[in-house]
Amino acid sequence: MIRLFRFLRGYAVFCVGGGFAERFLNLCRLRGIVLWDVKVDGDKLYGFTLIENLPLLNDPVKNSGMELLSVEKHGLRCFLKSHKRRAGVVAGLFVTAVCLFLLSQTVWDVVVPEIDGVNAEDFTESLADLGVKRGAFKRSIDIPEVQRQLLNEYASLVWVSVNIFGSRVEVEAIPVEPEPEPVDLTTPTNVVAAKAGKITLVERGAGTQLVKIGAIVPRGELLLAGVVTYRNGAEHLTHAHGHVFAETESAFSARVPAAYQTTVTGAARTVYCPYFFGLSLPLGPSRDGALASAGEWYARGGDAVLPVGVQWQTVLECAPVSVTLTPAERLCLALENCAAQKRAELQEAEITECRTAVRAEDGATAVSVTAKAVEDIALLVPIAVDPGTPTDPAGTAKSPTEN
Amino acid sequence: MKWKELLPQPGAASLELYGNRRVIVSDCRSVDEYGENSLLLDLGDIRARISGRGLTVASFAFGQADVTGEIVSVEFLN
Repeated sequence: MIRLFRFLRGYAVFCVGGGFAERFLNLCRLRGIVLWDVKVDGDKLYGFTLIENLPLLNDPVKNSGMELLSVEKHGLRCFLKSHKRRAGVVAGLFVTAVCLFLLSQTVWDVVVPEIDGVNAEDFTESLADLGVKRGAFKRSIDIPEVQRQLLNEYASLVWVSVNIFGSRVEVEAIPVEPEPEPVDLTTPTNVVAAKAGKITLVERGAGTQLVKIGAIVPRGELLLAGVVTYRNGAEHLTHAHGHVFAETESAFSARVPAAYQTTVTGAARTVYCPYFFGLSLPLGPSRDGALASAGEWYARGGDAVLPVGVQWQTVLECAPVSVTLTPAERLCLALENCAAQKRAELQEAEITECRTAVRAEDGATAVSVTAKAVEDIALLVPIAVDPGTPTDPAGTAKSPTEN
Repeated sequence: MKWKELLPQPGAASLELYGNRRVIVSDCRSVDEYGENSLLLDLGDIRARISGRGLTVASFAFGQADVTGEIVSVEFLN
């Protein structure tokens, strides 16, 4: 603070020599001349004083028998005086002021919170489409309109708020509380077997159980009937549902020929794009190929991410080729293919046994996998109902054995 | 010794030492000697000689001298 004060008022570095340094200091003190950082070097004395005190130094210099050897003036006045004819400096200061003003009017950062059920990238893109993005002018953002459009676009949001703090836009949103999916108990249904298997467990929700544990059922076999017959002979339709677990057997196969079409990747090319307030300029032509990696780096100011940085993409050059696979490679590919089929079909099943057979066929490798598993084979099938047929919409009808 | 004698006497000079890098002398009337390695200050009844290396009078105004540098000794002379 003192340095700034001295710079604004202007100060001088002086050097006096000869005579008596002590007397010079004492005389300065008596005349109220403020000196600082006074240092003696041999018979010379260096010190600082305010420019306005320079004329007052003459008397102490003379009376102490010293001689003023040099004076250098510093400070704001000297700076302006020495640069007053330099148009470049003035122009630079003007451009700096204009840049500062323009940059303070733009959005530097958009902060989007994590919202349940809303993809953050999609949400950011929607904001950008509505003009809320880095580099946008703050005055051009119609906040009520942006909030209204976001609520229209995202039905899963119940409230959205867009706030501008300085050059930073913060978005707050509250999602709608998810409602439990309604269970359809009004449509009359049967439960049939989705796969053939040996029944191991029946968990009946509603309907008439038609199979017993240990029974072997083909695919499409009726397991739980939606038609309930009461003791008086009356029949009602209900929404049969439940879980029927059975031991099933699934087969998967894959065949990989020796000549295999694949895509090979070549050299990696990275394209850098300097990013400045929403503008990115690629430093090179865009490349076709598989995207290997992408990254970005932004300058930071404290916790805030500044809209200045570099983005880059690394692309691998690709070309389709036909290659001849070795038997080991064919086997690996075939096994991988079978495993993918097995994962997709028996995702929720408990696999109890798995057999794999490999055979060679005309230069190709064929793999067949047989998997035994325990899974839920219950499949709901709606019953075509004639108008007027009585139904039990609550699905509370009991089986004849319980009546 | 009376208790009043323990209190700072009016007009008496005081020295504040900050390690061996800085000393602030208040009620300093004048500088009697000033060299690169020693400084003799008139404090009224007594004089103080500050010896050291690279001694600089950071400020000397309103009866207060602020001396910086590597201070080796402070000696009082009658």
